[in-house]
Amino acid sequence: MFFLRELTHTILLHPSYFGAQLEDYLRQKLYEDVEGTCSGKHGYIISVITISDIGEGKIMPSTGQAKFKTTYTAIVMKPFKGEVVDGKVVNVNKMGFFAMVGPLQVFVSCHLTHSDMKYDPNASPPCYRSNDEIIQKDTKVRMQIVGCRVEANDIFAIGTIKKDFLGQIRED
Amino acid sequence: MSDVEDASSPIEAKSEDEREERPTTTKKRPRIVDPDEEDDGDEGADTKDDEEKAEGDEKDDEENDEDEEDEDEDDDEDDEEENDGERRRKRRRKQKRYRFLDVEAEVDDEDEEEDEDNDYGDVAEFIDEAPEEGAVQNDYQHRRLDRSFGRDEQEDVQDIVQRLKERHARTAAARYNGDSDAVPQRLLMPGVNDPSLWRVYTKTGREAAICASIFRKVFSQQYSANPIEVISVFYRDSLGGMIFLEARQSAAVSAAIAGIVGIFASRGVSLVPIEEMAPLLKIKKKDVNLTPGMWIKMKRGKHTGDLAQVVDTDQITSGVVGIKFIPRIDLTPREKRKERATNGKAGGLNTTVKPPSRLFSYDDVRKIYGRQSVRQGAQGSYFFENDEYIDGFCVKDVKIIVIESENVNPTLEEISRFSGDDQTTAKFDLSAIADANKNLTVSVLFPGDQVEVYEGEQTGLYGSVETVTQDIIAIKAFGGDVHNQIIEVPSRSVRKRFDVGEHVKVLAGKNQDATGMVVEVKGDVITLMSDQGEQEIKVFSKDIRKAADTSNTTKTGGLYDLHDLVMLDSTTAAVVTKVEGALLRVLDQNGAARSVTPDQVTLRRDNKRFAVATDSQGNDMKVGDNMKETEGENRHGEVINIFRSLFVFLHNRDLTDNNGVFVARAQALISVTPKSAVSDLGKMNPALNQQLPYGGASLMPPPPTNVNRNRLINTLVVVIKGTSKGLMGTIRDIQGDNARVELKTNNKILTIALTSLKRKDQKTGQTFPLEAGGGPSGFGRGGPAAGGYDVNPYSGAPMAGGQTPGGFGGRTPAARFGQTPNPYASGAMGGGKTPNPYASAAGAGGRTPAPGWGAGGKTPAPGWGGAGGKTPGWAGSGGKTPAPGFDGGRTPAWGGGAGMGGKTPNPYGSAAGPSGGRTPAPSNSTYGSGMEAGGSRYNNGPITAPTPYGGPVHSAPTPAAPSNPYSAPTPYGAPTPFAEGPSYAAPTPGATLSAPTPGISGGPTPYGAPTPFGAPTPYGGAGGVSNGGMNGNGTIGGLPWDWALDFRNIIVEVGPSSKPNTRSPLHFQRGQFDGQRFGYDSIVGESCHCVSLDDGSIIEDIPAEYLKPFKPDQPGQVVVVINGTQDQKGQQRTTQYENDGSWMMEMDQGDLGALVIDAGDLCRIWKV
Repeated sequence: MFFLRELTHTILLHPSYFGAQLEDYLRQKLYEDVEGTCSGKHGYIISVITISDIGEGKIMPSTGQAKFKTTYTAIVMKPFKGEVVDGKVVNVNKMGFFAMVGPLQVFVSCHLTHSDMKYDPNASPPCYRSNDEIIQKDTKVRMQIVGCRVEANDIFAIGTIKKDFLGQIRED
Repeated sequence: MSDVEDASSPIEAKSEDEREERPTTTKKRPRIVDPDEEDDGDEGADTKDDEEKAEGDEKDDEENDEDEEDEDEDDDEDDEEENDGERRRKRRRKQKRYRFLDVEAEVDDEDEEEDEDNDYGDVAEFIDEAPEEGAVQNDYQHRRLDRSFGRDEQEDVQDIVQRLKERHARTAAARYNGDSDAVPQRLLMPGVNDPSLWRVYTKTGREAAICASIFRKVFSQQYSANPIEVISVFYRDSLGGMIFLEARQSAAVSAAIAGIVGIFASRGVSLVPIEEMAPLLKIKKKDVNLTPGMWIKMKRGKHTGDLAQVVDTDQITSGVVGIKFIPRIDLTPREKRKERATNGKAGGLNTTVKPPSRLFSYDDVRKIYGRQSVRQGAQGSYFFENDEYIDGFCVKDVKIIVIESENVNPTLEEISRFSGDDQTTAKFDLSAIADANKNLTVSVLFPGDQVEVYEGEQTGLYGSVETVTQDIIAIKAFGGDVHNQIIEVPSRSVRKRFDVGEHVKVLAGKNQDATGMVVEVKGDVITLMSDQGEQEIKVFSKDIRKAADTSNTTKTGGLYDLHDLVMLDSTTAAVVTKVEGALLRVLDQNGAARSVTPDQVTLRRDNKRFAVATDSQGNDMKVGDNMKETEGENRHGEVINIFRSLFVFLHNRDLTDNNGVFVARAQALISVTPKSAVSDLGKMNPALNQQLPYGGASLMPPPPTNVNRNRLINTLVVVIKGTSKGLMGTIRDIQGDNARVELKTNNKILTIALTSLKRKDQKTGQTFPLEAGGGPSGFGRGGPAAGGYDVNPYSGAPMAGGQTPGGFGGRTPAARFGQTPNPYASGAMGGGKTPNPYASAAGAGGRTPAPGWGAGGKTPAPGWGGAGGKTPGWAGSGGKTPAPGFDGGRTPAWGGGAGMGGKTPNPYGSAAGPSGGRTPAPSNSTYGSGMEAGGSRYNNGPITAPTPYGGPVHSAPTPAAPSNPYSAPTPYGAPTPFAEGPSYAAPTPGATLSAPTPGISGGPTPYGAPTPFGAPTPYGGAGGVSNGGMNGNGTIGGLPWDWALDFRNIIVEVGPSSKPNTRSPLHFQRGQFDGQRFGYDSIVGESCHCVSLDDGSIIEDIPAEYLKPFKPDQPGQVVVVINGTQDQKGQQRTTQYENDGSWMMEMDQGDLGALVIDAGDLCRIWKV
């Protein structure tokens, strides 16, 4: 699920950047620093929307670097149990398949697929196949998240397609 | 009622009394008991007056009463005709207890018997009644009269009361005893007055038969003249091989067992102590509670240990239970079976190997055993060799004795095997699995666990555990009507409940500590998707519990702990950032994080106490310091490990990457807490550092001896301490500080501390310390260098190299090194004040060409000058960039000492020379270049001290040919004055130590040349032989002139005399035999009885001084070590590989590492 959150980030800027473009540097650095990162607490920081306060630079003694405590608003994505997400399959093996939902990796175990879905290791690429569905690499799937493992800087989810309206998403 | 009363009163009156009572209360007979007693009391208490008074009434009523009574009887009889007999018996029995009513009871019985005898029934009774009544009445009156007369004669009432009381008191007591079945156990315990129990040993298995024989024997002699006074004989199943006899005298026991076969009378008859008698007879109540579906294990036969399942318990009472299990049918070819059949044994009895257990397959068995051997039964069952097979399982009735029903604990693997495959697991009776593990349930439940009730009336209920007691747990129900209520359920009927997607941790089993997310829940079996290995794990729900969302990073007590420094390869260190079950998450020195398995890494020794690095400001940092980066992200953290004083691993729990661990270069760090600046020049002075406890050279401790203890495996050792002291054995395994030693004496494997072991040479029987420098290896064990590890490598190095300035300059740091309490210094250098250490080398080596010396002398010079630029600049190299100096210094000490320099983790060493200082040979080969480099540097070097060349000493010694200083066979004769001084010889080993330094080979590199180890020169000069001071007699390239007298059966070459100051001619027989090869097998005086190998007819006694060893020239030759350390000398070896005048020997048992010996120290053996 996506949220808009106000977050803070502390930027250290080398004195060589002090100058007219200081603010640009700071913005650039903020984007570089935080976009695409993940924290267990907030989830994946997808994009910085606005920078509400760039903060007051404080020169650090001994190094000369300036420290800016920046406040910004970002779109964050945090998966929740029970959430239905769409993703793209990246890897299929006999235990199940992995799908990426944006930055989030979701694993769907073969136990959590419909019982008529069988792993076909001989297909190229290997796939899960049932009468009307084929799940292989790059297939778009709709999954429901059944559990998340949240680590300090990573989130991993387990999904299921063993429910109605889940599974392969057809393009047509 | 008193006895008297009884006696005197008319019988009828008694019954009347009773009858009178009965209707008023109830007709039920049992009431009799109490009313009678009351009657007793009443009447007892009654005075005569009462009796008399009542008499009149009674008389009036008597008729009615009698009627009533009879009717009563009739009623009773009508009601209970069938029970009559029984009731009467009861009544009689009860009445017997009332001794006063005996008469009455009899009367009563008589009445009834009459009644009973009366076949006419009710009518007849009625008819009979009238005449009887009159008679009775008459009789009464008479009797009463009699009684009243009698009473007058009675004692007075007081007496009666008194006697009654007495009697009642007595009866009460008696009755109490009689009624109670419960005799206190302690009163039943055997005491000293009871017969004793005697234990007799018998043949195991024949106890029962022997007991029976003793019975017969005792009984047969029971009525004879001398009966055997044995009271009982018994045996216990649980105590095989012995029977017990109860007798007062042991003589009786002896008599009883005499002549009975199977009794080991020789083992004596022993008395069972009184306190053990009761336990001996105690029957341990064994609850064999077998239910169908339960898991059991087989105890006997070829299926021992196999899992089986109870299928029916119908015959449980007869001790038989139906089980099913996976059969082990021998499917070996038929011939074998025939062979067995001819052996007369039924299949499998004499097979040593258990056939594998597999489901019965009709086709397979038929193929092997033939169609007729398998019979098909109903419903797809088969009969084969009297066993029935259904669905592949063997279904069999077995005795309960042969199965084990407790602590079965089947693993999931066993069960799934039992059930065929995973597909059928679903069909499988999961509750059976739960049953098998029921006993464990309580211990694995904790408050807060989510549980589900799966049996009993609360089935389906789930909630979280509130409290856990032994068998009952209270759960807070969830959902339904009972939401949030606390409900108590038996713990055996709950199981842990997990939802798909939950993150759990495995608590037990082979996947212990693995974490993963639940992907499937099937009853008790949970499938996890492992967090680490991308694999599925099936576990019992009882074995897992919910894990924290973030997998924990706490220590787990495995081989590797969090923040341990491990080596990914010889040059790459890493720190464990997370222990994930079987996987380690590590961060290597380059900042790359990766997952490795424990076997991919080796644990680096713990250097936390010693490791020091220099930060960007030149301050020391140690493990535990708070440091901050000076560049990059300015992270700060606590130092958790330092690798080679270069890479510093820090930890800051605020950081999220790699669980807070990051790596930084030491030079890019600065202390968070300000430290005194670099101003402390004293710290830069290596000499001062030298004396600091951990300063200077001690930056790194000498490598511990457990670098790779596995190499000790298969070492022959002798135990020097403890209970096994003196025993010999072979190390089979190393476990930490202990070794598993297989003793030679009894083949037992013991765990013995390494410190209690010494290595033993198989041939010579000499013992060495286990770890000291590699025993027979060529280097590092020479003389003082034996303690190579203990010797400060730094001091060793400057000794060798730095002594030159020491000798000359006096105040250069080297001289100070000399003053350090260091074996080299004190032993060898005489405190650095000796004229020149090279003198000793020269002495040993004889004529060293000057260039060789130059190299030796010069090498240290660039060492000081090159790296530091100034003499104390050593501190610069040692302190600020400690690696070069340090590692350079360590390499020889280590590599040389251990005899396996190749393993040194010194990247510089390996970088510098292709062979990494592993063998001295490469050092030698590059010697020249090193020399040149040294030379040139020397010339440019800032040291202004007198050059070594200039020293008068240097002109003399010419220890080695520059090309091949090791083999240096040249220096015979012309001993220099230095050669004589034994005190000079000692430094040689020091030099030996440092000799193989790779630094030399790397001459042209800035690291190579400047190391103080340029000093190998003296080594070369000394010919690699450390015996300079051995006898002071003069040497042949380090050999004493009379070496040949120590050996026999070796091949020698004749040459000029090597005996110093000898008066003998220089050449034996004017050089007639010079260059010829001889073998000798006997010694005459100082001459050897030599036989020419070229011409067998030449037999000469040649004085030993003319004999030179005949060196091996090919691999595979058998040689003897004629020189070297005490333990090497005399060893018989086979050459394997030659390199620049040194031979590597074939490994021998007990070798710690490759043994490399200078060719000059070897001599070929004549007669192998």
